[in-house]
Amino acid sequence: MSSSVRGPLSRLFAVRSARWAIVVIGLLTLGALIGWFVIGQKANYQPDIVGLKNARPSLSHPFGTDQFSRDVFARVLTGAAISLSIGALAVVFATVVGATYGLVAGYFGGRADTVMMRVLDGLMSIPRVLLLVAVLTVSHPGLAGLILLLGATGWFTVARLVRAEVLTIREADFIAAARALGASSRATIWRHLLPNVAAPVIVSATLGVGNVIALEAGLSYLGIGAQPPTPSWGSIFLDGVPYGLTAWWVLLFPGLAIVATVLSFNILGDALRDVLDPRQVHVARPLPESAREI
Amino acid sequence: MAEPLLRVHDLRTYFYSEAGVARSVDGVSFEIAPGETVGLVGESGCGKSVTALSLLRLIRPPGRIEPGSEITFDSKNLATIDEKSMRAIRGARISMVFQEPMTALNPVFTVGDQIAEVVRIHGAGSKREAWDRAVKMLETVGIPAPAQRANEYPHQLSGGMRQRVVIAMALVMNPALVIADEPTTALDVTIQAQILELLADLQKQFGTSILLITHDLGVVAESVSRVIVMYGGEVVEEAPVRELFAAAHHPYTEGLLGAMPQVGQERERLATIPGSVPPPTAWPTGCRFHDRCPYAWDRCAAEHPPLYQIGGGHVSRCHLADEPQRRAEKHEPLVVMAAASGGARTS
Repeated sequence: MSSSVRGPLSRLFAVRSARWAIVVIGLLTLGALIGWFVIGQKANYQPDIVGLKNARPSLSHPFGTDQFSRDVFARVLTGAAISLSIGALAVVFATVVGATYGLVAGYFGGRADTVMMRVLDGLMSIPRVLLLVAVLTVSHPGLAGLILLLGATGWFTVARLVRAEVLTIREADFIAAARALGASSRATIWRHLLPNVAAPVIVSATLGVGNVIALEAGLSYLGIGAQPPTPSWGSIFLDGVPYGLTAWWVLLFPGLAIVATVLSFNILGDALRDVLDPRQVHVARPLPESAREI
Repeated sequence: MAEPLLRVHDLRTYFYSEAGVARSVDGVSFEIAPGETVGLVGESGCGKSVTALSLLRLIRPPGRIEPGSEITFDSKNLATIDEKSMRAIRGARISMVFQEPMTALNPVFTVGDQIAEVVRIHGAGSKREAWDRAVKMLETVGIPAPAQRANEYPHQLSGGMRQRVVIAMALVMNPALVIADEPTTALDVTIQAQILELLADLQKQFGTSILLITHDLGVVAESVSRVIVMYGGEVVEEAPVRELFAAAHHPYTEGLLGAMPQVGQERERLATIPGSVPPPTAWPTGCRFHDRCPYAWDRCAAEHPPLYQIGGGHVSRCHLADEPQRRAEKHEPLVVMAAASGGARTS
């Protein structure tokens, strides 16, 4: 009976652009795994700093080498591991903090909500990039610190989004019904509120990954993101800049990786928004046979 | 009457807003006997739903149940017991059926899950037992192929079936009292009749008391034994259902009955009660209905009427009980006259 109703995942795969995005993200993830577990420190290996300096792409070095004779392909793969995990972990951190904040403010409402939203307004008025540049220039917190910083400055919009959703859903009859049938506040939040705000949160997190990867690339390009010789896409790109006119491959491949990743996550995010939107479910989904009037 | 199941005495629920204190429920008293179905009737804004939510103590700030209100049930005062004891009563001893079956079910869980959850909340069995009970309950409320239906999501069911699921959720713990807040308003007429029949059947089967809240006197006529009419946050009339339909005393009840469409009656337009329910922050002085009442005289604006005894089990909050000869002096209500003079001024 219910097999005729397709779940959100299979509807996602039905969207062609989303399929491509998933394939690209899958390949990048695979590359990142290889980069992390197989290549690892070998990405910093300098075989011949004279003979192989800025060598063109060839069979032995498909993406060429950089000014230190390091293999760009190996560095882009390892960079995938660094950039993707920075993106994913920072977004997970930001989403957990933001969703909790928004949930608490929205559910309890009243004065707590007012205070929490004013604090949030204050935090949002700080320009994110300026803050990051200032903090990272003064201190070099390492990769973990970078992830925490990106997460800590990235949860504000999630908090607003979740709060707005909670304010709507909180008034739904099924929340009142849950309370009328004896559910506690905690059970109401966990079972009834959270699953119903999950969809927009997933969408915003997906879009957030692309955003953070682009931001991290920018910071690394400024020399304050991942520190050399750690290869993130931004720092590989930075290494290539002095020879940009001749050794174009050092710029091109990490650049392509950044564009492909951000684009894929944005496409996937948009497709998820369409697929998870409950208002579209009724249109996209044929009435199951079982839905006959009694 | 035998020992009542529920005894509400001087229930007052006020909301404190910037516009003033909204006295939505203002001194309501009534009783419900075990196994009895009582109708609670009135227009929107007269305090029916707030009364219902007060019984389950689901009033949220800025609203509160005023001190001195008594809701006696299971020899406890529900107005004052702690939240934990109240949670144990909600859903298990007193439960509620909501108006909109579209929104009263959580869209992300299967209906079986949602019924089983009520069982789990009240610690009445393992996951497996709760599920089995949910399936059995679906069968009881007349859902075909309940074992399969239990695995479906609310959006896969029709409105009528959803309302059956909502009823199953309310009844799965076999509560002593079910509050049904406009349970049929959102449904087609044919489905309405089925749902009312179902409620009556279940009541016979389980001996549940039902407080049926509605603005539809037709629904009341076919399903309850006693009717409480509310207006302006107060009980204005209470009578056995037959007596109410045969000899309504309060002009408001009269107006409600007059506004009912009747088969075989040739009338171009339905009668209405002029004006609307005043805001609960500013109930009129004296009788709260006097500005809409076709019999009102000076006493009505000055003196708040008590509940006069009309007959056995029949009370009415109207001075006509004291001065029945006034019933002959029907006139335009004050709101109509005010509107007319207001119109004259602007033209």
